[in-house]
Amino acid sequence: MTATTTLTAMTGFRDSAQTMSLVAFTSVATITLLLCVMTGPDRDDLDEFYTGYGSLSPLRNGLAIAGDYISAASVLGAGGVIALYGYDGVVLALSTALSLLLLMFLLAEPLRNAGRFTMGDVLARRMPGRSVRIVACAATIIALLPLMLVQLAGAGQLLAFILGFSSDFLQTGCVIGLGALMISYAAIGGMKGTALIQILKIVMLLGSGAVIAVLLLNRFHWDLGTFFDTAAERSGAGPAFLHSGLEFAGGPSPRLDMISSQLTVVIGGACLPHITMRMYTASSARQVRRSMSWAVSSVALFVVIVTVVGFGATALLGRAAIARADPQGNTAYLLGSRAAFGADVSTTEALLFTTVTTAVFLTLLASVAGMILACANSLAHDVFATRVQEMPVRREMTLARYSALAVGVPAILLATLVQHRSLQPLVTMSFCLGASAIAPALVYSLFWRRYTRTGLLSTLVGGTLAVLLLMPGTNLVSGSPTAAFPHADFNWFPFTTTGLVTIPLGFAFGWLGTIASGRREEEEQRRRYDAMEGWILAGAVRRDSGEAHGETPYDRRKSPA
Amino acid sequence: MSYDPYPPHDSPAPHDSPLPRLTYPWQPPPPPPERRRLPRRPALGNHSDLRILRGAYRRQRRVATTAALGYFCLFLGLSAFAPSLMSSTGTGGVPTGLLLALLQLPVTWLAIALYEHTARRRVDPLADRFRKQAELDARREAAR
Repeated sequence: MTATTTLTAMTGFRDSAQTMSLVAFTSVATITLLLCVMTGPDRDDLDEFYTGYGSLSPLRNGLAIAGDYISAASVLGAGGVIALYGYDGVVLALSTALSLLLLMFLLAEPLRNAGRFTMGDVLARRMPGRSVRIVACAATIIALLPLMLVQLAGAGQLLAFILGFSSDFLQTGCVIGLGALMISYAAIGGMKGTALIQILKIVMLLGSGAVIAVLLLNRFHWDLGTFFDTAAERSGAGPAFLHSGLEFAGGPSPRLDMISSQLTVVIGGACLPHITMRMYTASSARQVRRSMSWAVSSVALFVVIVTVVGFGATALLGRAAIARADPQGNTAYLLGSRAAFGADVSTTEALLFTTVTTAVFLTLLASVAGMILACANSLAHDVFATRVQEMPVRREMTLARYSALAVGVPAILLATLVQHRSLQPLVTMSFCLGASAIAPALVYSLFWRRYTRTGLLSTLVGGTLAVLLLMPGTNLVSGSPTAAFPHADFNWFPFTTTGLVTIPLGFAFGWLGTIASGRREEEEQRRRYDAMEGWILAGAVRRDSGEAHGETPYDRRKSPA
Repeated sequence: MSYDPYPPHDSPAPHDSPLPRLTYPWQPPPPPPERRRLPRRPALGNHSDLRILRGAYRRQRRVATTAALGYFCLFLGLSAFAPSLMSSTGTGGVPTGLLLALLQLPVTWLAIALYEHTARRRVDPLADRFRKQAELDARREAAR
């Protein structure tokens, strides 16, 4: 494998580093699993399983949100795009941060007030009914599945890269083993257990990353001008590396492609259900605001780190070496970290590098666990628990745990199938789905008074279908040597993302569906919204009709009144 | 709240009483039931409270979102359509574009601080008052 040979050629301590990494991975896996068992919910309490009872302080909750948000795809992907395309990669990383900022400004507080456990709860608060919940669950799973596949398949590749094996059989074994570990995190730990892992991961990732960034800049004597110029020089693209246009060159309208891709990330990134699910764990709107402040700050710090490491990788190793290790540059973050130490590596530095690899390993584990949890919660709470009027709490929790298995096992199987293809289109697809189906549905149902059930269903179904139809025609799927199907060419939609068409479509579907359901239905919805506006704005009941504070009639079964 | 978790899809909502059945089809339909009576009891001045709270929230959300999104869109537009400006060398040998990009991070921190500050000063007191009012309402209703 070329990747391993590059790494080996660069360093003189292949064996010791690999042994160290292996030991570190094993111990991290053991410790985190133990943490999950110890902090997992021990009583028959849905609140505890789904939200951890809002017991996390804003700082910890914020770190958990950031941990969920910075998935392995963003660490490795963003590092790669920055190392290969420079400026465009930096803008991508900035879009990621901005997306979370927008979530904080626009949706976080109303989401916390309106939601309870899942996205289905938020939507069904205004439009009760099983159809809404089932569609919400389907949208959740369809949006998160591609992202899970990417991380799972990436986990195999990463382990192969770090531990230096190249057999496909072993790689598949890694995917299956790690997948099993991720499922157990979600099933055993629930919300609180995974939160702890996310916190551990983000602290390790940011801590080790910050040290690496300082080391890298130190090698250039803190002269940013020289730093960027060297990167531009060694990228082979010259000054073009430092302004927009490298990544999206080649299409018929590169500027439009660039703008629509970045906006898709901005709109869709933070709306994905595994992020929004963390909003419900805060105990009040104020707490959610504080948590999001910490989360956005951590993500901003991460953007700085990944920018420095990405540029540093190109400046020290050259673009060609990075592209040789992985055409998408997914290993650039690790290569850059390694290059920060120079030729002679002391024990401390080897230890530091092991920390970096372990942080990335933990990132892979934790982000998939978070996504599995989001899907499993939705499946158990929105689909199965609403099938019967009164489901015992214990049963719903057992169901949630089996759902983790039901979501995780197919994901692992699919991941072993796609692991040798380019995974970029899958990441893009998740973001497109978030931006075209989930974002419009959430924005409309939290802020538009006349939004009806038909409108909601057509947003979710129409937006999702539009993405699924357009996605196969995009640049990343076929028609170029780096695409997922390099030997075929059915590239009829010459853009990187589908956002340009599907985001307006998603919003338009919602509007049309609402208009089509007639004036009476709209008025009915407006009345309902008025009745619950107090809830959405302040978390208070305005026209109380008997239920206890903080509960909907649907949830009354869960607390013996 | 006064909705049923599983309302039948085609029947009107429970409090929206259907028209009384007519004995004879040619009989003139009775006047529609008075809508005004629907809330059953006046809420404790919640209407104006809610309006103020809604206004405060809306202003907060709109200003913050437009500012963040506006700056980013401006930056994207400049990157795409004014490459000469963005690649001119700024201070310290770093191109203006990259400088503008990296400047967004401190701006983000500033925006968060500003948002938190205004939310705590303008929105939170209103929300607290509203919630207290609503709780009072609920207790009064329960005592009746």
